[in-house]
Amino acid sequence: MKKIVLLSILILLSIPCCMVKAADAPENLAIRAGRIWTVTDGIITDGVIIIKNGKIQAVRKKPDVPAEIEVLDFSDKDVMPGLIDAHCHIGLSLDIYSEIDETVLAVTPDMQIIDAFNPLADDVKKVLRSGVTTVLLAPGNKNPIGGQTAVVKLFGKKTKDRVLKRAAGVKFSLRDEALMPDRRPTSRAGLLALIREELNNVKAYKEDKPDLRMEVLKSVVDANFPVYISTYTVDEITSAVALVDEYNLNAVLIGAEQGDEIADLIAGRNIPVIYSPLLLFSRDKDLKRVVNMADGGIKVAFSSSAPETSLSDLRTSAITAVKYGLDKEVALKSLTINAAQILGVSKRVGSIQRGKDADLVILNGDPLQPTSTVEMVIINGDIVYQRQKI
Amino acid sequence: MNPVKIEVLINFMENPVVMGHKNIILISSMLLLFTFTSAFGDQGIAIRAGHILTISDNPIENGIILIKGGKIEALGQNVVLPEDVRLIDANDKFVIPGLIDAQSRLFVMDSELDESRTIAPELNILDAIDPFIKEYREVLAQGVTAVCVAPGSHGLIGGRSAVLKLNGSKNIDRMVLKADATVKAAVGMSTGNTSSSLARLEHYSSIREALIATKVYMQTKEKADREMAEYNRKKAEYEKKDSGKETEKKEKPKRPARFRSSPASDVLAQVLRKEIPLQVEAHRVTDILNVLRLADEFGFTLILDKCTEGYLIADEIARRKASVIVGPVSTSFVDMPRLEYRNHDMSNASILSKNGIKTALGVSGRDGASSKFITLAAAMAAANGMDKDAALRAITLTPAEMFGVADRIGSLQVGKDADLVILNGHPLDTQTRVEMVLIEGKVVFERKSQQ
Amino acid sequence: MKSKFYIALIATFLTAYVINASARAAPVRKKLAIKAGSIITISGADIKNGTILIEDGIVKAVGKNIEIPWDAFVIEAKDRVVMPGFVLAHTSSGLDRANENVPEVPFLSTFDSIDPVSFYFEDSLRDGVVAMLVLPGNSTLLGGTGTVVKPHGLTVEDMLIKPYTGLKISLQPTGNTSRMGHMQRFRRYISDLKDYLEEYEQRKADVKEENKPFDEEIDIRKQPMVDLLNKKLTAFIYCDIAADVPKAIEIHETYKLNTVLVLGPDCYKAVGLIAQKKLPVILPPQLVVWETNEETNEEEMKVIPMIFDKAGVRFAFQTETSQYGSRYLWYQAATAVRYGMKREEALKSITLYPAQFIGVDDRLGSIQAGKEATFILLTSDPLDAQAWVDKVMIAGEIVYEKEKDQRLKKLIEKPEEVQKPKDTD
Repeated sequence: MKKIVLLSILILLSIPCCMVKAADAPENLAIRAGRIWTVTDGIITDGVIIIKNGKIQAVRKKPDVPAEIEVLDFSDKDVMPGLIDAHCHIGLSLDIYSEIDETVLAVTPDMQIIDAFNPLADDVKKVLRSGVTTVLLAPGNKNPIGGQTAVVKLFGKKTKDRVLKRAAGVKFSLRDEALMPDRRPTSRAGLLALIREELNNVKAYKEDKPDLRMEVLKSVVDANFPVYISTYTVDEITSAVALVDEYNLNAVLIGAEQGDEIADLIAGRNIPVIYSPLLLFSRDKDLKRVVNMADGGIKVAFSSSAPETSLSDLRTSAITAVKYGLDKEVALKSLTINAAQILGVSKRVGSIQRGKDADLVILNGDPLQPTSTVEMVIINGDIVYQRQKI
Repeated sequence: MNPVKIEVLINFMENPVVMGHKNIILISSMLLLFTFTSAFGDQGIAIRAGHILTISDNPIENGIILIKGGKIEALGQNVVLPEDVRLIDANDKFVIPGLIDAQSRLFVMDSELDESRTIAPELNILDAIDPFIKEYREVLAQGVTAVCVAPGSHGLIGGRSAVLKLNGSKNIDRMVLKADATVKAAVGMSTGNTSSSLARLEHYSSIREALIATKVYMQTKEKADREMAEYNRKKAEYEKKDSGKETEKKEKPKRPARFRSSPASDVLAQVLRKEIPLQVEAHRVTDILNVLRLADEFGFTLILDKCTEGYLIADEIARRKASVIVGPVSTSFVDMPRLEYRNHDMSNASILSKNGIKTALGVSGRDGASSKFITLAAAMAAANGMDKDAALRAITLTPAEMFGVADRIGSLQVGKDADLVILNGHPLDTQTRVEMVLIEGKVVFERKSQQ
Repeated sequence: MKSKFYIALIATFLTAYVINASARAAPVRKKLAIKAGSIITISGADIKNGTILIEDGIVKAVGKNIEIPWDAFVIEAKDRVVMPGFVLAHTSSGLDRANENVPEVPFLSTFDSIDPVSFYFEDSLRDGVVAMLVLPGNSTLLGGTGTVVKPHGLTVEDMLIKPYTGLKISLQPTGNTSRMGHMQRFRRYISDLKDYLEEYEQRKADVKEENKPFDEEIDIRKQPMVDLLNKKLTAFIYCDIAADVPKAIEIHETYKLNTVLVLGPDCYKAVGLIAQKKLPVILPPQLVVWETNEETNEEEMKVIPMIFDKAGVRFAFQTETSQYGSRYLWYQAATAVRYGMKREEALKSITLYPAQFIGVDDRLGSIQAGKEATFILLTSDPLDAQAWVDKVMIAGEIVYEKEKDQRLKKLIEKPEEVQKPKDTD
């Protein structure tokens, strides 16, 4: 009897703590902003975004806000959806050279990059202030058939909040880096042959002898499991397109730096492109390529390939593209909704719309101006970064 | 000149009458040519502009810049225009001084940026310049009219730097605005992906030893000069006496041992005499502090190059009155980040300049053409706390001052070179386009109208 | 009986002598006359059906309707084209080894490493070359001095036309040296040399003052560079890329040298600078290069001799031993003419101009009275691809005849009729 009373008292005492904890969660917010760049529904001036339980409940022009909800006043600022880095290697290791490629074997579709991701890594924390909220984690370019990519948020209290897709697709690489002197393939022709060989083997695969690698490749060939094909030159892209045709792949091109030279080929098959970071280039001709591709009807998303370039400079790719002629609206989309659609997470992120996750970036000016600073970053309704005044 | 014209000319020249009066004809035709070209070439140019950002003073709204002989002759709202002046109408446009990239690789041959660690102050970046490259035009088209180029980042003392103008001359002499602008050094650079503390200590001590040796050299040279002067005096006396009376056989003065000069030491002597600044690349706090200590010990003019972790010890740098060239503003501008950029912060320039340190910005990019990103670099610095005007100054007047060419470029002032850029918007704005670029009053770039 | 024996003996000896005499190469005749279908003098207009009179290996007269002395040996060449032999102003072939490992060896001379037996010389003679300046290669900063030789002779002394000609300087950095280091090394060498000379002069002055004899010679290893600075030797500066040309010009002007530039294919970009300074150049063997226009992405053809010709720069051609067409000087000239160069200028660039560059134009490079009788007799026009070198005459002596060229015969003779296999049954 005494035990029961004691236990009840303990339980009763613990409830307030839990309740306090629940109230702690600031997932209910209202943000008043000078300009809301919704991406999908234009720009709303002097509007408000209502966040409930980490989701966008409403976004509208009328300024009235429900009671008992914290209001952030950014009436002179700009708000846009959290940026999406469509291809990077962040949070994977101190020495990225070793962690992102399984170089001993050429074919490793069973490997999942999410297993190497450390959400508490320094480089992840450091970039919270950049405005990037969601990223595609990917293996490197050294495997013709590499591991599985993942879509993660840079912050999330629970795994389900953080990991949007544990396995978003398989990374293929047709680049020179995938050719190794000490293992197959050593030549370009050999690389293509290897990929075809593996994809053809799927036909002979019998599920009674379970093979994880084969399972993954089977889903690529039969179930439209996305393939992220990394390419650079015209001939690499052409080979990629040939594979898409032959095996009816659900493909996305990564890099595709010379894609503008065969834009028709890519656009004709509606293959989207996750373009390389623009700061890797310095010649006008190269800086214009992505503009040509977008003008040619290709859906483009920007990436940082961090740490090749800094994830903080994702916006810089868009800004530079605008400087070289990219339409501003398209540039903004390429930082947000295009990436979300390509990665298959557009139900949750990519624009400021009712029902989507409250992933927002507040800036002190036009997002496509290099002089604009990120003032605050919100992920799932949580303030993960706030700029300190020096 | 086509062959027919030459033949006619030759026939004319061989005419006996002409031959007879060769000299007069030659002189008069030369005079004609001279007046003709000077009449055309020295026609003044005036630019009427909506917003003139002088950098050195307040901006001038709706003003005029008058250019003559390649220099800014007058500048202001009430400038009287001479009659035969060519007027460029930039009524709603911005005019700024030509931009300067203080950490450029433009024109420098790639092969010159090797990784050897030596003390070689006598090397000159001008020996590694390729004036025939074409990519400078793209950089010019973004408003950059001058670049500071220096030997590689790995030589402990890599050699002498120079300031070049992007005037397209294939003659290096005409490209060079200033040779021997600084002596470039570097400490604490990692090799590959590793860095050894012991190696870094060696860098520091090697440079220190070289400077001490230079001091000794300077003293020895001075002594030798004195002895030589003394000898010459005694010799003159000896010879004088000899020619006159021949009574006493004086001792013939002995010539002092010949002094072997060393080009390397001569250069470092100029550094110690504060004639040339020492531009030292240092990234980590320990390395920066070491360099500041060196500056204290030897008293040279110090420019800290890159100064990646400078923001952590801004007060120390401010106290020593060293100037800093910050770059790259973002690690995205360089290849896979080296260990040196571990603690890179985009607000470095902002923090340093707010502490009163003279701060310039450089692109420090992957290759020569990267210099075109100088306005982007300045905008990024502004986005991370640097005052917009300070950022603009950091890519114009400040680097000019640091490299000793502020008498010629870096701001729009009477008497300076007419190196300027006409833009259709504020220079730090993404969608701003460069309309025209002038170097010494000559239009070197003009944007063709796009569809 | 005895007399018959002695007569027989003498007869044998006489026969042997006669046979021997005829077996020997044709003796050098004192007076010669060549009656040629066409004479390309280079120095003047071409002459059809003209005559060249030669005495003691020197051209006495050349023209139409020249009276031939009764005692002159006449060479009928009605169906031949006679022109001066080709002169090559720069080659590093025919040497035991073209380059040294040590960067500063100006005291070395190609005289000591020319290999007379090298196939290169035999081939050159066959192709009509009568003189070449053999210089060290491109991998040594100060490679050494050159030697002008003719590709004919058993020893270097036999081949010698003019020793101690030209000093080779290469601006191509060696090993791991940077260009900055390379240039600095050059400047250092010169400044050390100048120090040495100053000290030498001082010592001389001191000794002379005391009225003592001064017999110290300048270090023999430094002499060539001293001669370079005094313009007694011409500098042949190799520029690998266009960016080297401004440096070469800097050296030329700073030290006030006599200079000839030896160019790599990239150097056409520097034609403006070269024309300004009026420097003579030796073109690379590759005369046509393709460059991708950065803006339009199109390939543009650059014809190097035309670029220099249009800029008014005087040049000589150079050959390469391995490449097909560019191993022949006539091919180089023909390429230039094909792209628009004037025939006369092109032909000068393989005869007179190179002779001038290497300082042998007093005797070679054109057919004129007073110059050496050194010609080639061709089966047709020199720029005709079908032309063969029929004979080569050097200083009045026929040193090559295609008819007697056994190696060539083997190459071009028709294969023998294949013997039909005999029926075995």
